[in-house]
Amino acid sequence: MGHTAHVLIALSKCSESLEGSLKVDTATAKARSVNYLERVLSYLRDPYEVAIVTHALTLANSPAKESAFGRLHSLRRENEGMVYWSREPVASNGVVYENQRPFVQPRPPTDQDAVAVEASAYALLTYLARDGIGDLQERTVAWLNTMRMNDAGFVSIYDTIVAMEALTEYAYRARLREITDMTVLIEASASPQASQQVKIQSDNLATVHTLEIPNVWGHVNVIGRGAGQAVMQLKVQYGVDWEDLRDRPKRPYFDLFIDETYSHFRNKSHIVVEACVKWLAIDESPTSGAVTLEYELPSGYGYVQSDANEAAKGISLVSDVLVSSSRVVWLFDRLSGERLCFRFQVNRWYPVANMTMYRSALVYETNSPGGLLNNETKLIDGD
Amino acid sequence: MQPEGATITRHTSLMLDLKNRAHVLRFLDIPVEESPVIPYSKFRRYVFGSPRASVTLCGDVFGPVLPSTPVSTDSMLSRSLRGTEAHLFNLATTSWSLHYLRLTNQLQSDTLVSGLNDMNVQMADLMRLYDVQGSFKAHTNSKPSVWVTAWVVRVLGQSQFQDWENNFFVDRKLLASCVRWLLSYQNRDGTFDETFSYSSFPLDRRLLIVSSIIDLSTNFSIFND
Repeated sequence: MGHTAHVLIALSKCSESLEGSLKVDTATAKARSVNYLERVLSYLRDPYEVAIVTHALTLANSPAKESAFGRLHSLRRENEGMVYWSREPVASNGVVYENQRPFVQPRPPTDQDAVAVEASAYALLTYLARDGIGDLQERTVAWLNTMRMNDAGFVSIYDTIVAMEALTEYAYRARLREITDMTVLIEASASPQASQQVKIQSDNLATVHTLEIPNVWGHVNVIGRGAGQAVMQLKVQYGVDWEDLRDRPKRPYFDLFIDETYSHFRNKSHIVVEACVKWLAIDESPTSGAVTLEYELPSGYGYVQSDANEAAKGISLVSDVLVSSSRVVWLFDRLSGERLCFRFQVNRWYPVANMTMYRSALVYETNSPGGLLNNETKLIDGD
Repeated sequence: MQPEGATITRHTSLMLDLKNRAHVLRFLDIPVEESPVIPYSKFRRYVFGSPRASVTLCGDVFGPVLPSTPVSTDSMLSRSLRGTEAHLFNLATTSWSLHYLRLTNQLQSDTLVSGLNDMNVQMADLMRLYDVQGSFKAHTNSKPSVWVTAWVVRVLGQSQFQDWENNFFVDRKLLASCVRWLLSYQNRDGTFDETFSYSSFPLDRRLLIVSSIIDLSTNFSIFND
């Protein structure tokens, strides 16, 4: 159903570019898909499916779009005044009170985040196409903006694309630019020298203001005055070298094993890396979806893309490989419950004092409904 | 320089809403302690010197527009990726950023030209994974996929705009051949199939999970009737 709705959306989006008999065939095919979706509409229970099917039916201007919309409206979830669509409730940012002040905590990721963002974005598009701007739309936008897991992107690949489409449509209709005139004071409690006052006006609305915080502890105060809306984000990163401190998914999805063998000659200039991966959630599905395995290169060591391409041809299920300056990324179409092992050799290019004790390797489903949450990370002990 | 160890990221994102009030006050917690040392403990909370923090602020609700030129999965999602999804992602996010700027009257001509130029580069990368039959595949060694092809058609269809056609133009023949290929996977009841290689093992597992939920609910309602 989701698949058919997705293809139907694709056909609707490009039907203007088609000519001749193909245009007629596409119209027929679209009508047939619409017909099917109208038929199964009453069986749909899943918010994601209802959202994508309603969006597809609205685009196709089907008469069933009203009943689909009613269904979508009844499936909405509300939390702290914000509205969203998700298979499971999504927890909002926690708040800890200290000295009468509410301190907003980072949002805890859940394993359906990407699906929730995509579904809510489809729903927002449907509401905008139907009623334009309204209170519910505003509250959905507020929710979407709490879901960012990266400064510019959302959780994963396709939910970011749909969310950007929905926010573009919203911003176009909301016309906030004309009234925007705000002054925001950002202060970091542990770095008073880094505080900054930012003016956001209609002529610099799209300018991104970034403030690095040198002393990473304490909290950040934000004081806004004026009129308008702005997106405010705080990103904190730190490195851990203790397995128990890393984030763990609710259940293990992958088994990852990395072993490095250093050459006994030429000052350990060659490293043979053996990687073994296995899909563990066979009760959810016999195989995984597309999988990404990232291996962090030790400093000074390199791997050539053409060598990697050659190596990839010899390994079953590897669909592609990417070598960037700091990591080797292996991509698989799927992994099964059977352990898949392969080896590759990285070589020293630059003599550096290798002080790195720990590096990381991680494996995750590329289109996982939870984004990067469902990963398996291994710390590699550099000798 | 990358900090040592496995990186842990914590992200707080919120909207400062001054639409119907004049003053907003928010306190954001930095979830890192001043010292990584836990007394009498063997391990540290984090590696010395590894924490990094930054605050990003931008007007309107769209979020940071074009965080890097060209846009990449690294700058948008902090992931290194390759293949259709990566090129399509870069193309789609660039095109939506340009659409956003255009629709809110903020588009400068130099941003537009460089953006469209980047989209052309992504388009060329994307075409490496195109098959003359009309299909796209996810990666070099993958098989053609209906799901991937539909995403390509959808993104390319939405990236077109009349005023931009001198700088970025999607060939009608390309879209036509893709659509023709997609139509060949339609069943008589109106549903679309996935290609044989991915029909039982989809690239995006959420499609599989959902269909099984539906099977259950359908059976259940039949049982009730």
